[in-house]
Amino acid sequence: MQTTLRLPVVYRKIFEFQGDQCYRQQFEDSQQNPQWFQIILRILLNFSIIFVKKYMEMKEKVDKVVVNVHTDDEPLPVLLNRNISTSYHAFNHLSKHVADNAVLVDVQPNIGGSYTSCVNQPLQDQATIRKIDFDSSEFVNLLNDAYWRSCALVTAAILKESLDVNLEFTIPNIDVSSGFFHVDVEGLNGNALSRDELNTINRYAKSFIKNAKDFEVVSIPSDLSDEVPSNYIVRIGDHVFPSSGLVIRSTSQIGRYSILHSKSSGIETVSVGGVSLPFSQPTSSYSWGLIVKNALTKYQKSSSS
Amino acid sequence: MSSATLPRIGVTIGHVAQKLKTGGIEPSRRARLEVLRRIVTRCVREERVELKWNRAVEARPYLERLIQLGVERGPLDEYTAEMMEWWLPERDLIVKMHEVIVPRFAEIQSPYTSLYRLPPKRLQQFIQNKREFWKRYDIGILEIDKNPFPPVLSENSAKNEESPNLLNLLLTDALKNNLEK
Repeated sequence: MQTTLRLPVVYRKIFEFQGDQCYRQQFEDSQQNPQWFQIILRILLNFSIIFVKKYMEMKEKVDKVVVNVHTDDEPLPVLLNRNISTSYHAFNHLSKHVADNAVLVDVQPNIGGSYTSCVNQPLQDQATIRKIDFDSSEFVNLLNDAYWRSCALVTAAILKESLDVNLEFTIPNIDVSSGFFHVDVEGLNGNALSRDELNTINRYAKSFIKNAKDFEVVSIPSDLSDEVPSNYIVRIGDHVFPSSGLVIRSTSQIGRYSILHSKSSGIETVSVGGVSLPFSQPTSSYSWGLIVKNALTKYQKSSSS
Repeated sequence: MSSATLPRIGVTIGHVAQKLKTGGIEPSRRARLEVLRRIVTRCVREERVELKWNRAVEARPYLERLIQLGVERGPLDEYTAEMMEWWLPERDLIVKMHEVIVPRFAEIQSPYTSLYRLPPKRLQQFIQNKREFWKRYDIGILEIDKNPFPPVLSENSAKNEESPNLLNLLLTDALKNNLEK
């Protein structure tokens, strides 16, 4: 019996293949594929066919699992699909406002220790989940790191959509205290982006962020950790990136955002830096101007060192 | 003698005068001063007042200057006496100013007042054809320092000012680097 899976588009398309036909050569020979097929090809080439097979095993069985959503009063039990439903679906049973505000999730499983996960990450076991938003006094450093990482990923997605060349990205781990985030781009032949180009990209970035694209996340199982170099795979719109850590729920949680500067950081590599603030932490244009100026100065200094 | 020789007060003086609605008084420059006098008088009497933010911002420099006159010149100065008499129409408040408030700041530098911002309040204005009309007000607290009331900012809120949220981190770093230049 075929089971309808409610998964992100990329993974749903993966399931539609039969496992025995998943050969790399067949994918490479197919030249006229729709866009999703290229995405799958990229995943397969980069992250191994075993990863796909692993998820295909799940196709035949969809288990139900009860997850308790932490509230101010009593925990709210919610029936969800194991490995398919996410914390976002669970929070929606409470209210859409709660679900939209959630940035990360504190998961306390019935068996094992608690951990923090992304909102759009499928839930695996019975657990109690609690939302973490930008107003939370706990997990502030974790939130900041996740936000910074997400902004770097969004920058990569924006650059990929706005530049008509094949680009490869490296997302370095940058501490929030540095005052800026940056991505390393390969494929621009070491040519830094001009100020006019950055202005155009910044204008496009506004519409990209406004479209409220979800960060769809799959964690890499521990038995595949040797083959896949990152902890998570993140999909933003039509783009898939490896990620070393947690990310936020959606681009709608990004408030002020600006790509500041671009510089050559190697023969082939170009670094693109920016700064951003969460939507729920508004500030005046004067303060934002100070933050941007400081980030730009620090980024330029880091380039000269 | 005027206030020309006094040092600059330790509070911000806005470049643009705040608009003060003069309810019950015919609008004029004099009416504006009447509004400010009411606030200053009330503040000296109660030592901590809660009022609309723009009124608090506007009245603070006047209150600050009045206390400064008391601290710098003393009750025997002619100009100080004239100012006290005008700004504090109630006699007992002039006595309070010289005997209670001014001695607190004898050894202390300006500012002698504090201004805090409260969350905005939304208040119902009127109902017309079963439709409710609401208005949002920015609220401020103006107080004379070293008053006997519990502090407006608790120790916990002081810690919150150093909260490591992203906006605080970036802005603190930006201000620090801006000042170092």
